[in-house]
Amino acid sequence: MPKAEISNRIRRLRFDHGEMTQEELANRVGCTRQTIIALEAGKYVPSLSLAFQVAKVFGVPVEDVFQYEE
Amino acid sequence: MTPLQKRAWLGLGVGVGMALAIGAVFIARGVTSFDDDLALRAITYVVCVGGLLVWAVALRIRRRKPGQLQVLFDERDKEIVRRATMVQVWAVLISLFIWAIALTEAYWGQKSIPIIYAYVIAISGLIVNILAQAIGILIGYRRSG
Repeated sequence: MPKAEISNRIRRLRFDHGEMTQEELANRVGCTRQTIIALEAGKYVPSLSLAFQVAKVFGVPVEDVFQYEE
Repeated sequence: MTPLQKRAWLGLGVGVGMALAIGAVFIARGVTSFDDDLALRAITYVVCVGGLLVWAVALRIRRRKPGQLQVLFDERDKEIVRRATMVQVWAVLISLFIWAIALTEAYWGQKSIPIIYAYVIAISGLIVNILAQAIGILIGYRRSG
């Protein structure tokens, strides 16, 4: 089975939204700042719920934040 | 560092501290002196119950700081704890099998094992449990950033 990777544009979107801090994003989606750091580094794949919450904060569809790559 | 990571470091400290304290007590007084030494038994019980209480208090992590937005424990922490639990289970099982094999081989000729080893096994199980969870959590954080 080919290895699938989930990449994301969270860092880019944060800067596009008034240079939102990791702390602010974390508070708005209900996770820790360390989880945002892990997400941006591609070391953690979020749950569907967290992925949708992140997308909602930026006002974009979830596929604009997270990309599935085979 | 997340509260869970701090807890893991505390667990590591408590586990190593308990192991050293129990080891020092048994080396200083001798394992078999446990049978007729009430003071040694009392010291052992205090170290075990004390360590267990510190660990239990450290287990309590709130999801959010009271009255604040900052989140202290989230889904990633929960996943790391879940994986660490598997490390705990395997570590305790392996330690129990090692004790069983070691004691059986050591006392095979006598056909009986000193009663003290019931406590030693329980204490070691507790220490292995605390250490394995702490190590499992710290490894989990290292792997997932």
